[in-house]
Amino acid sequence: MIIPIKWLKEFIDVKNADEVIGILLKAGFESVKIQNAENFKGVVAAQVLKVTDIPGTGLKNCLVSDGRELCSVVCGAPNVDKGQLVAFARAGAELPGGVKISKKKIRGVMSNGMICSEKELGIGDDALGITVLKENLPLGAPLTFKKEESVDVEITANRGDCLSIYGIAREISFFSGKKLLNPPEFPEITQDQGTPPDFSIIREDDNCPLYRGCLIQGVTVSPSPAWIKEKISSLGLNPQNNIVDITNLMLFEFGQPMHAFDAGLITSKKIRISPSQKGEKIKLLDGTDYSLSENICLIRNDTEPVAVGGVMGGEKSGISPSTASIFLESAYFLPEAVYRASRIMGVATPSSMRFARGVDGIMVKKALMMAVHLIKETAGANSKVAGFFKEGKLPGRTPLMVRKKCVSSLLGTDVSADVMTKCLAQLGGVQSNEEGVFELLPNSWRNDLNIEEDVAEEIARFIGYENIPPRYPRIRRLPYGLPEGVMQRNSITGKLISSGFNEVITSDMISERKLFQKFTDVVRIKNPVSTDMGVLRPTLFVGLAEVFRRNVAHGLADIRIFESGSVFKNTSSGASFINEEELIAGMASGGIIPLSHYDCGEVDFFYVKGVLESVVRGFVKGFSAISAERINSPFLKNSFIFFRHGGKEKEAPQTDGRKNLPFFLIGEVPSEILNSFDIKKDYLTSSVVYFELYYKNFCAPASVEKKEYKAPPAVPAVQRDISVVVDESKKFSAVLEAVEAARPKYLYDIRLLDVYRGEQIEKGKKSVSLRLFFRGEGTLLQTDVDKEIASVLAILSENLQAVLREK
Amino acid sequence: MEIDREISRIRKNFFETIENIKTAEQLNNIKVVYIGRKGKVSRLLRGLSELPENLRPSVGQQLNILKNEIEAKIKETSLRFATSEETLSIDETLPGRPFFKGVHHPLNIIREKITEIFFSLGFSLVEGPLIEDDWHNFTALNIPEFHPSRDTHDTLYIEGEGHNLLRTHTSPVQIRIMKNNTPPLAVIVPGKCFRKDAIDASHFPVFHQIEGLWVDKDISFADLKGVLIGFISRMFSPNLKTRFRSSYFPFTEPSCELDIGCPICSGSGCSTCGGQGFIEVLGAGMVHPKVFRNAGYTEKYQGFAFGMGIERIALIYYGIADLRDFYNNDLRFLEQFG
Ligand SMILES: [Zn+2]
Repeated sequence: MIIPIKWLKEFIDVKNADEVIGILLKAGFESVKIQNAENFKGVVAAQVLKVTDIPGTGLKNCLVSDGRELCSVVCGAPNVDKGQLVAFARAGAELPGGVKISKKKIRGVMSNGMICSEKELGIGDDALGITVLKENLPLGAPLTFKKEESVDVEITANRGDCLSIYGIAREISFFSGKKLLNPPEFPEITQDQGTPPDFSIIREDDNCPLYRGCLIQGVTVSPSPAWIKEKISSLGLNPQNNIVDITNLMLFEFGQPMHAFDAGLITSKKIRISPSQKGEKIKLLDGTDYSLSENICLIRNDTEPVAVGGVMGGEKSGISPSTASIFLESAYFLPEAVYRASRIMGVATPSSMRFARGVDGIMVKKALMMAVHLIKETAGANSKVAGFFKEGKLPGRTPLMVRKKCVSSLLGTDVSADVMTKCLAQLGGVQSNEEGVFELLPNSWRNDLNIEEDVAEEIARFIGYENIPPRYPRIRRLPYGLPEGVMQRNSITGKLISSGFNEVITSDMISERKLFQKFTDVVRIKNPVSTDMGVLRPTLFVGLAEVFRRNVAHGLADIRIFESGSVFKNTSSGASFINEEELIAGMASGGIIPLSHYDCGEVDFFYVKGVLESVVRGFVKGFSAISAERINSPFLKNSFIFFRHGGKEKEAPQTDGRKNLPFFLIGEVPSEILNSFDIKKDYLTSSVVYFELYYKNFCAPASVEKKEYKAPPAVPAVQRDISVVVDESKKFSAVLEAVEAARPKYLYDIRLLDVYRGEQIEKGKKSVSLRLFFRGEGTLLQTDVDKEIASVLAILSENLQAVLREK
Repeated sequence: MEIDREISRIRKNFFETIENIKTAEQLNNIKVVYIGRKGKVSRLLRGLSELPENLRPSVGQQLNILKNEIEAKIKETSLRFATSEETLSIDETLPGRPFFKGVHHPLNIIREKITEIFFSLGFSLVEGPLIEDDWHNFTALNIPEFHPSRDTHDTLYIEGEGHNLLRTHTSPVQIRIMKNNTPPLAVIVPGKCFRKDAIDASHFPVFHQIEGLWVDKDISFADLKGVLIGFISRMFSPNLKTRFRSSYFPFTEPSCELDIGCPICSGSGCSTCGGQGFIEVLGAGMVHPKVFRNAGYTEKYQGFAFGMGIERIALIYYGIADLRDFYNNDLRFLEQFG
């Protein structure tokens, strides 16, 4: 809220905006100074020496002196007169709104500048008359019209009591120890003589515990006096009329929202406060028609809604120039009810903002009296208070118990009884019947003090947060640190990074358009930031493709990126259960090593497969990805999912049904998809390969094999190479499986050396060369190895009709 | 015995001579002179058979020892004269075999730095779901449905029944942790959060937070200050000023915000700190009794919670002006942090 410093100074002695900002910052409110920078230049003080009418134009030719020269200026203002000190814009001056003043002929008369009005200078609303300077300025002095300084304060949601000039002064006083000046005197006004009013209040909604009002007859609606206008303007608002301005004054000065009805339009002469029915309609002062949901507190002209309680008045019963009697409402609405109405209707007003945060109950009456007093002063001699009305009462408050021991424990510092007494005395009425135990009845405006901890905060603020000595950790628990899952994820991202992949972070919310209708069960956002962020990603592909596109556009060709994140999908239809799954996905293209004079392959399917196999081997010893399934994956061609299985450690737990869990997916991004994502192909030097790593499936504790220590073998391994010729249709996995099926006792590793097709091999066949590694407890005998190879060859021949190729 | 003297004379001569050689050629000559086929030692070895039988084993052994010593010394000395042919054959200024090294995302680098500090203080790490329900994200944290404190959370809701939403902060994980654990507990919770913010240099609808929670019987505001001052001094600098300011969060009481002296300008005022010399880094406070109650605690506990934006810390740490850079993932930007 805007706090004009001049206004604030009526209640507390502060130097300037900077001091206020500093105190409020410590008190917990951030604020900024509103700079009222000069927005005109080249305007100086000048004296009007002579005024002559320009016949037939209503304009005047004025001779002014700016101390340097005499200028003749054409002026249309009725109030210009000889001898006045005026604001003179010389030719070349700049006025607000980018207006540049130059010499020009007006109605045939040369005008060498302009005598300015308040409006033209942007310092007021008066557009008709020129500004007559009151100060005794030397001629030619550049003019500076400084508006009063003000600060814009952000009040936290718990402190409705600070949403007023007086409230801020009170808070500054609490916080800085400065005395509150000139506490306002609220008049006691009584009904004027006359016939008792034929008017009544019926309160049927407990969301309005207290409703007060005053009927004033014979009012004249007119512009407010200058001092009220000035105050309203200093808030950045436009003054309207005496009635509206005075209610605004009460709201901004004392935090009590009020509403003035044209009493003549309350035709039933009954104000009824009752909850809304679903579908009831009302047009409010903002000119909008609202269809209400149920249980919103309405103020009615008997049955017809005329205002939404605590939020805004209706258009129909508002004050107009012809209003002759008013009903002034000052009430207490429950915070939650007003906030609910404001949220549901989507209307936030200065009034709803204050009620929602809690207003000072005592002020309901006081501000009403003050407003009535001011209206009587400004609304003409005939205005009469026809009657005061009151229904209901303020919600009661119970005292709080505040214990020195508890406050000290919470703050971690010993708070003295003396400090407590001093602080509590400022917060409300205090009683202490027992050493160190206080009963506090908080001041009426402190709606935020409800539990002992709330008071502890006030005591901490009173002491100063900076004066509570810090205490360094002494955590009484066993060390724990990282959960296994996070540790494993970190280890995987670390491996990908050392393999040359860069980690990226993209938005979880993406454009549904980018999914090209390839996904069902997409999770949509009800109120998205924009359609570009309309759905939760069902795949990491889209975000990665976008990053890829951007980097290719920058001319990069060697790109390898990955992201660790969640994907989302709606599970079973109807139920609102959403599945959120973490995985790692990546994309790669370009050279395997940076461009150099060394041999360098390009990224392809098998490069990525190698990286992923090595990642998995960190968790599943000896894993090789031979169990795969070709799948139809959105955005990809030649895409395969690889499963557990394979891996030398056949004793790995397979009983838990995890055998067929997918470990990763690899696929190539076809050129039409690159096109769809606007990825420029000109720069690319290799295929673009995408992968997804379902790390939870191989990291989950159950599947992680314990790494058992084995002494390194005492004897070196024996190596043997064999080459077998098999049918082209036999996959490498079949060869491996056959070797394993022979259950060789000493064989511990197999490497593929070569796959050869060519002249020396029958068409439709291929030669597969393997290097077998054998190891035993002691030195292996030639015959042991020969026996194993023979059995391997036998199975290869039996299962795959493989033939040993002579070397 | 003469043969013994002969052996020690050869040894003496050899070791004297070899100390003075200057070239590989000289070394080769010495090799020939001593252990070459017609060398001094070889000659003696050949002459063994002429010695009386009882002397042969001991003399033979001595000669072998001498031969080994000479061979070892020659080998050692030869290292001084690397063969010039090999030296000339490589251009050691050619580039090494290059390989790609990736980098962590700067936000994750900062996350790791932060979590490491809290691990060292005894905190553990917990994660929570991104999609939350209204109760965990708001109600349980003492943010009732119709309370103005909801205004600061521009919440993104999920379509469909069930009032699911994208968590607006990491605080709901506080509730999840406390529901399943009894104090003492000290945890940090890093993770993504979401708000319906318009994108600009300091706002992005996706952002990262780290939540902290330490609950025991007697954890106080003084502990809160100690932990956070400790964190700041390790994260930035031990000399950095800290300033605790009063604030308001519905789920803590008392609440505070922590400002640090601007590490960019050391407090003299710059664009990072908006000329203030101080930068707000996090919000914190003593866990509100209602939060304990909503988490199901019936015993009395005391503790604090804090939450900080990882982006904010990263912007300050690196002096980055525009938060959008983190989400553009321009590799030329990211690579600078690896
Ligand atoms: Zn700075």
